[in-house]
Amino acid sequence: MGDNRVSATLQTASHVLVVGAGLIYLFGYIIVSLFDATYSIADFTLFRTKVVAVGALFVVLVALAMLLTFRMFSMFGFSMPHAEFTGVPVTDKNRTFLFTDVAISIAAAMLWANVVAAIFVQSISNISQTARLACSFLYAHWQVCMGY
Amino acid sequence: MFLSLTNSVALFLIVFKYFNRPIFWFVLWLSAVCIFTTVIAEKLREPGAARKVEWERMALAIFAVVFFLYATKVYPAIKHEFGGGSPIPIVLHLTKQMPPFESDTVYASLIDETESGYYVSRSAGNAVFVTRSLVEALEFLHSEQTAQPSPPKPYTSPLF
Repeated sequence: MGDNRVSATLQTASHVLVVGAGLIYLFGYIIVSLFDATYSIADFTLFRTKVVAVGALFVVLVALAMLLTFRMFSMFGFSMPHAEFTGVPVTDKNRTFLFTDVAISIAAAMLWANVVAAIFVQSISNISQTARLACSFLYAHWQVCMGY
Repeated sequence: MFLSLTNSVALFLIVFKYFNRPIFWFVLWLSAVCIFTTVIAEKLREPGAARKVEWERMALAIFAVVFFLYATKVYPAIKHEFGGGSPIPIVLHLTKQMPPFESDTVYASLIDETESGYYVSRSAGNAVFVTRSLVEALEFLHSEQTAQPSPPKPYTSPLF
C-alpha cells in the first residue's frame, strides 16, 4: 500500500517536471524568437540551452507578479471579514468598489516588485531611486485609503 | 477610487518622464500580469461562471500582450548574466577584413550565438551574422565598458 503511494507520487512528480520543463522551454523559445525578430533575425534552431534560462526567468517574474497580486488582495481584505489596512468591512455592497480601488493601485505595488527585480535590470543607484519613489507612492496611497 | 486612479496615473507619468525607459516598461509589464491574474481569479471565483467565459479569446489577448511586451521591452533590458537579452560588449578579432566592417578588429555588441556563428550589432536595430570560421578570437568586455572605444582626446592644458 505504502509502495503504491510512493510510486504514484513519484510518477505525478515526474509528469509535473516534464510538463514544467516543456513549458519553460516553450516560453523561452517564443521570447527569444520574438526578440531576434526585432533585429530581423530568423533563427529557428531548436536545441539551445539559453532558451531554458530565458524561460525560467520569465516564469519566475510572472510568478512574482502573480504571488504579489494574491497577497495584495488578501492583505486588503478579500479573504477576511474586514480590510486589514483600511478597517473598512467588506460587504457584498461595497465589494466591487473596494476591489476596483485595490486593482487600480496595482501599479504602486508593481513598483515595489520592480525594486526587487531591478537587481537584474539596473544598477544599485536606480534601485534606491525606484525604492524612494515606491515609498512616496505607497505613503500617498495609504493616505488615500485612510480617507485623508 | 478617483484618488487611487489619479495616484496610479501620476505614478506611470512620473516613471515614464523621469525614470529610464526599461523601468517604465517593467512596471507596465508587471502591472499587466497582475491585472490579468486579477481578472482570471475573479472569473474562477464562482465555479459555474468559469464555463461561460470565452477562454480562447482571453488567452489570445493575454499571451499576445504578456509575451510581446516582455520580449520586445523587458527582456532586452535584463542583464545577460541572469538570462536576459541585453547586448554583450565584445571585440571580434577576424581572420580577414569583411565588407560590413572597416578593419579585422571590430567593436560590437553580441546579440545571440548559435552553433554556426554570432549575431552582432554595431548600431541600434541592425544585426550582422559572422560565421565562426571567420572569427579568430572573441574578447568579452565588462558591461561598464563601451562597445566602441572613444578616440583619444588631444591634450589641452587646463590653463589655456
